[in-house]
Amino acid sequence: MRVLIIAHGHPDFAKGGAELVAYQMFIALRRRGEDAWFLAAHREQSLAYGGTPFSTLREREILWFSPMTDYFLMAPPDRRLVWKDFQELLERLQPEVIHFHHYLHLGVSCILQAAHYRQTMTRPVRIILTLHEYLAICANDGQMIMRQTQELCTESSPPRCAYCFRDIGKQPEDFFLRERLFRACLARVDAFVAPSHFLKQVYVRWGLAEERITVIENGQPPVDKLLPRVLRASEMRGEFAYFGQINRFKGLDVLLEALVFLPKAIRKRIRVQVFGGGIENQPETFQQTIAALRKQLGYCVVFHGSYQPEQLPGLLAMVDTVVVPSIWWENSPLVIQEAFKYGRPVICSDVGGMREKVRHEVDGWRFVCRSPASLAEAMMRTLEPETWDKLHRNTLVPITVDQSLENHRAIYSGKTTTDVRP
Amino acid sequence: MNEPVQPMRSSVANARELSLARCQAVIDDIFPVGETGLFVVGWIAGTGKQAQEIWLGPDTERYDILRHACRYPRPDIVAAKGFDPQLRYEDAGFMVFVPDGALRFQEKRLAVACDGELLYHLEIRKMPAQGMRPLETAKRLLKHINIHSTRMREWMGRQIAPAMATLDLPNSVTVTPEVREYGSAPKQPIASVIAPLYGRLDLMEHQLCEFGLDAQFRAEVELIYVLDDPKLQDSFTRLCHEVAPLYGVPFKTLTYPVNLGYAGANNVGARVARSRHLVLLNSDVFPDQPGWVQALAATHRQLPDCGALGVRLLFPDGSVQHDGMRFERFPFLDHLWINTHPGKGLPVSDAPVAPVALVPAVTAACLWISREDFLVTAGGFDEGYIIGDFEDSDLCLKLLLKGRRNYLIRDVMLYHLERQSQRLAGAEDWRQKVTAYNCWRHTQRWDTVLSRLCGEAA
Repeated sequence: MRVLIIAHGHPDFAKGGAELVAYQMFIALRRRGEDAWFLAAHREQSLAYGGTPFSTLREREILWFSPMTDYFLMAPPDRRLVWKDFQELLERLQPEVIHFHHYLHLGVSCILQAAHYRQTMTRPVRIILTLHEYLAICANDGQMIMRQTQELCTESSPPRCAYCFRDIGKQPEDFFLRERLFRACLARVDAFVAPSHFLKQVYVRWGLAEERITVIENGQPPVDKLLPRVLRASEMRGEFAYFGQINRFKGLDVLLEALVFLPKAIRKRIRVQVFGGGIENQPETFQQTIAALRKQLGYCVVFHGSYQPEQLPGLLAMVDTVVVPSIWWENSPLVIQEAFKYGRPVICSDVGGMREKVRHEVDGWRFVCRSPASLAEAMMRTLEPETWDKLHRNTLVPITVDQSLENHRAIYSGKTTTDVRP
Repeated sequence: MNEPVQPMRSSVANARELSLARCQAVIDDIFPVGETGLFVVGWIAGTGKQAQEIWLGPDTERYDILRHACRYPRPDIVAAKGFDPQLRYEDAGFMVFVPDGALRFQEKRLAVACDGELLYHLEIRKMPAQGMRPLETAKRLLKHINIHSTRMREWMGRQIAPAMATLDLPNSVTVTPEVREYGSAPKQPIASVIAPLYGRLDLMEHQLCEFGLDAQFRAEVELIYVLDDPKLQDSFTRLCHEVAPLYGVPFKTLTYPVNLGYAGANNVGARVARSRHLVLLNSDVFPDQPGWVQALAATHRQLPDCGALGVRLLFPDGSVQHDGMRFERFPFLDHLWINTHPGKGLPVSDAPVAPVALVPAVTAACLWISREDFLVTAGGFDEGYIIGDFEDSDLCLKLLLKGRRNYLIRDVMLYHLERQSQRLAGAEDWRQKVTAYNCWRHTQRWDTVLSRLCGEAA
């Protein structure tokens, strides 16, 4: 079965979780000798040739230069990229499964074109879309966070969305048209994959039929669990870590504020290690907030900057507990799976997809989203070695890429639509 | 040309004459209309004891402007500098259309007289040249009208309408559209959908996306886009080539080098349409479900003497946008008849439920009609309404007079993003004035019929 995996970026150049998940699926398919291809959007002109949007990175890994400009409608600047170039690629590769992991940078209309292609083929062709966020529902980068107040948003509708976007003059009609376009394109998908039940339910509320969405957790390459960090005498499990891009939706400020809530005596005995960069791209006010908190907290916060995926086990070996303080719904943050696979408990916000990934007081701790006090309490509890030991013992090995692929097999062949639980 | 004429203070400035005559006159605006006409707006104030006169030459054949003009109060000049307590300013304002005024205006001046004696000449140094485009002239004609005045009807009838009648506004019969085809159209379409485009093109792509979901539409409907906006022609053609293959909906485009307005664009489309039935459709109207054209066709077949068949339209929030039209006298437009939309903006759950209703008129935002009824029985849309207003109710009333009945159906619903087209209408003030003119024209034509329809005592 020839499978074409499509992502909005190649992990060689784009480090996001969804890109990585898509690519790992492709690599796993290849390792098993499957007839798989990988197509990734690429926005850097320097790798593009004249007269074609395509270039080949390595065997079966194709880059598609797609300089998208309309992120509101997710439309490529020239539709010919879709009905001519993408169509030619499909005709040439003749995939039987077209698995989109995203349409960002590519254009949501690529799904329409895949459906045209499907119609012209005599063999059955399946179109699969993995939903990695809420892009079809929310024009605010699919975050479902109100732009003005940063409050969590639970429901989209043209008037609500226009109100949220009032500062840039959007009207309800703009959102009506956006929604119709996305619905029309998503209507052509044979099966959806959601990495979390929460995300699935959000799309079901939005109107996708429940039976069309299968929940399959993103797979992880298998590894050995790390041993617990060796404690000095009477030391607590006080090494906490934040992993990933620093942006205001990831809640680093909540984490630092939680430290302020801790008794000074405790603060002296713990540390928060921040692994990740990108703060320089954040709004000025957010940068100032973080800078002020760092100054106030002194030595108990250490910023390390960004890291390479290969460094991850080494970094996790240095810490006890991973904190995921996101202030938005999330879907299935990669960092949670990564922490678990190396045997590190997780403290996370109690909303969205995170909620179902961490079992409260079993393999981690959930705190009230956006509440530094609640997070402080969670940290107080998990730094007790006995509690930590229990959580650590309970961490389960997350589903592997191969298992995840196995769960996709039924969807690829069109045989099942029931949820597959890890 | 767009520069307003400077208000011309009397070029007199001859104190002796003024004190003798005790008369002030100012021309606010003067411009040619059509081939030979002239439109003059100004004011004149005297002591009230002498007869004032403003005339256009030549001397041997004077044209008495004030006798033909509409007079009206000008509170603005009383408040302004130069007010003379000895003069009387009631109804000082005047506006007049002089049908042969441009021919008479060779000397570029107007004579002001008191009791038959020439006091002075108002010399006009700055006047737009001949050759203003008709639409600009129409705009200029309406510029000085206060649409809320209780004398609005009089001005429209005596000055504005005769002036408008001389304008050579573009008309669809003079137009030969260029036809382009994208994809292969159905051989025997059950209907031709005509969608005029003006001002923005992006809505077309959204419609194509929507129609692409509807297999029956793709197979049985002829879709015609009429570009009524020559300045967008290049980007339109490019966009058509760019998007046509993506949505799999065959369509046809009509382009021509003038801007005809909504009525003219539909008329052009109807003449080219191949089906015996038309769906007039705004580009900001979107179906709720597939098969809607077929549903309209089936309903139309069943309804006796059906002329115009309208549908319930919804706003994007699901509330009523259109559920049949009603006519009402509007007190703030000199009691002209306006079209109102019962239930507009209110929840659809509270709206009438009858699946079919006999109504006097329906909106043309989405309207099914046989091609023959549209082109022959009704003679197409009346293109005399400037830019576009009232042509739909005008059409429906023409059909009623010819013995047809107009219906509204509620089991087919479409969405209408009305605000999106209104946003394009341009400067608010000018748009309101055009609407007032069209409203007057519509009332002029249909006053008797509407009085009867609405049960007014004769």
